[in-house]
Amino acid sequence: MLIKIACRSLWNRRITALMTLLTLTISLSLLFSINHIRHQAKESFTSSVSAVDLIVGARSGQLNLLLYAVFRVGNPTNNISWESYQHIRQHRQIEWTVPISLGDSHRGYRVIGTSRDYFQYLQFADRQSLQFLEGQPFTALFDVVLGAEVARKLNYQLGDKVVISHGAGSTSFIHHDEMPFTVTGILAPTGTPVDKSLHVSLEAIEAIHLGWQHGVPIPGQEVSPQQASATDLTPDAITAFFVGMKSRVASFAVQRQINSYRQEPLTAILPGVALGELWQMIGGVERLLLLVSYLVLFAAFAGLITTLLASMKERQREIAVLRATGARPAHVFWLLQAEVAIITLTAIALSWAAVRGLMVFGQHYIAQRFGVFISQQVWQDNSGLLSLTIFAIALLVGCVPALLAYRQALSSSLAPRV
Amino acid sequence: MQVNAVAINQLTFAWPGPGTWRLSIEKLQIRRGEQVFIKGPSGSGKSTLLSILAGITAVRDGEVWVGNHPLHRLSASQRDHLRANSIGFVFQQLNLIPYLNLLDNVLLPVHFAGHSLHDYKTRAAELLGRLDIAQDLFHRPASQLSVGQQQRVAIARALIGKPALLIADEPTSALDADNRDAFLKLLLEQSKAVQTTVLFVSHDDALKQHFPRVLSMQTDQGNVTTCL
Repeated sequence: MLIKIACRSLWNRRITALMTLLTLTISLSLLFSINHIRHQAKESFTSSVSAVDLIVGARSGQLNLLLYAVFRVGNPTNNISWESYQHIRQHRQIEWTVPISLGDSHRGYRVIGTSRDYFQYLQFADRQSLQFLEGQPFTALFDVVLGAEVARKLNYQLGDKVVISHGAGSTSFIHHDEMPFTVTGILAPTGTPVDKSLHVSLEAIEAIHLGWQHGVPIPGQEVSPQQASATDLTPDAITAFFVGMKSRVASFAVQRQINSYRQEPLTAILPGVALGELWQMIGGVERLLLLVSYLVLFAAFAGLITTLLASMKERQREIAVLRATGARPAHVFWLLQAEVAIITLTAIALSWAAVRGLMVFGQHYIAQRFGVFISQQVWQDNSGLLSLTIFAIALLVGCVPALLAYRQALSSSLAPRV
Repeated sequence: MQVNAVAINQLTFAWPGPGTWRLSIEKLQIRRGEQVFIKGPSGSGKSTLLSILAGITAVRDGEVWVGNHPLHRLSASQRDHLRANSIGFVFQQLNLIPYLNLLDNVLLPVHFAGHSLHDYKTRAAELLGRLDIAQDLFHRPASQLSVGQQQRVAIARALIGKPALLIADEPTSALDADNRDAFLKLLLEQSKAVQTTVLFVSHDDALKQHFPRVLSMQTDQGNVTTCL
């Protein structure tokens, strides 16, 4: 009956009640979607590398190594000699290694020299392997495999020719235009930096730099593709390599061994640990977003209370009638709280539906536009708790008008005053 | 031995604050089934007396009995319970919750008394019928009724639980003469039918002829009101 009275009372004030519901729904949707995207951003961020147990590079800080090896941001400080790489990969605890060689780019996208193991071993997200949208890994010397975003943004098809530039910037003036590459494969979107990369073989990196010294071509020593193919293209050095262990437990021991490797100063990092550290640093932005959404929620609650308080005057007579018919002050208190609860629960349900709808319809667009996969699964483990917390807060702030009504009920005279 | 519907002994009451006004009733007894008219000008303490009898205002000095319930000894929630079960009200106007329909309005005391609404639905319809409320109005919101209809619905609500006591506080002041007499007639008839004692408060002397017993609120020089 109390619920029925509350419903009728809200219906009686349906315009203000609807506006309040709308405000609350909008702010809750904002909170829920920010919470969701935040969750997803962290997920997508930490899913950039999966199945890799160690990342090894020249001696540097672990964040630096992580940034250039995984996110292709910044520049390596030094290289690893081919001999050291060959030596370490023989380690009996190591199952596989994938070398990478950085330093070239194509219209702002990084070019990665690597081996074909890259496509076999590297995984992202929940141990998902790289998939080819079209074509296959590189086989010939001048084959290139494009990340999804590179292919889409630059509108490349299989068989197109790609000229690689020296250096990492988008406005490089030195192009390896005597040795164009052919697109043989395009990867499916992953939502990781792989999408923004071009992949060629280590040998190709070596080939395009034949006849170069100190990062510039020497005049008169230009090499043709045919000559390059005939040369021994074993690289002298690589930038870094990813390591997969036979058993994860050995990671720490091997990390220690690599870090104290005598022949060359090297750094080995555990990607999970380094990612966590990096997320700590850039997590500030998401916390700010969250703060904003909490503030919006606060404003919505303030609106809800204002609406109820504004209705208290017309409620005086209702309260008097309820009292006269035997309602206790507690009944009046709970009547107000029931109204708060009805509005809040409806708003929570609507918001989840709205966010879910947004994600279902927006997922494709976001993936296309930003290369980030946002899961449609908006209901996370903590969603129930979040909803419950919001409901509890609503009842808490609902105490303000409810207590006012309670007091009015206590002191109301019998006859309703007009 | 509960012959009295209301019994007051040595009651003294003053509102908190600086005023000197006091309500003082040495002895007042109203027998069960009696229909009593209480007259007095506005501001004479009628509302205070009703508020005390209704159990909304607590009594500190003296004894107030409603039936065999000692109001002066009951807790606030016990008084609320008593009110829901044993006292019906009809006010001057605005008796009903405007957005609830007629039946729900009539059933409010049943709900607060903790009884099953289902058992009382037939009785509510019967009462409304006897009070000349057409059946097709039962599910209309109260705000759509005329004042006269609303007052009659208020009688139904006051009597739904067959209360021991019905308190009517100037219930006719918003009605025109024709409506007023019809209303009064219905109120007294229906109360008699369920043996409910009626306390009818008004400043309108013309109405007292309908009542076998008349009490009046009188204020003396010392600003003390009593009820004789």
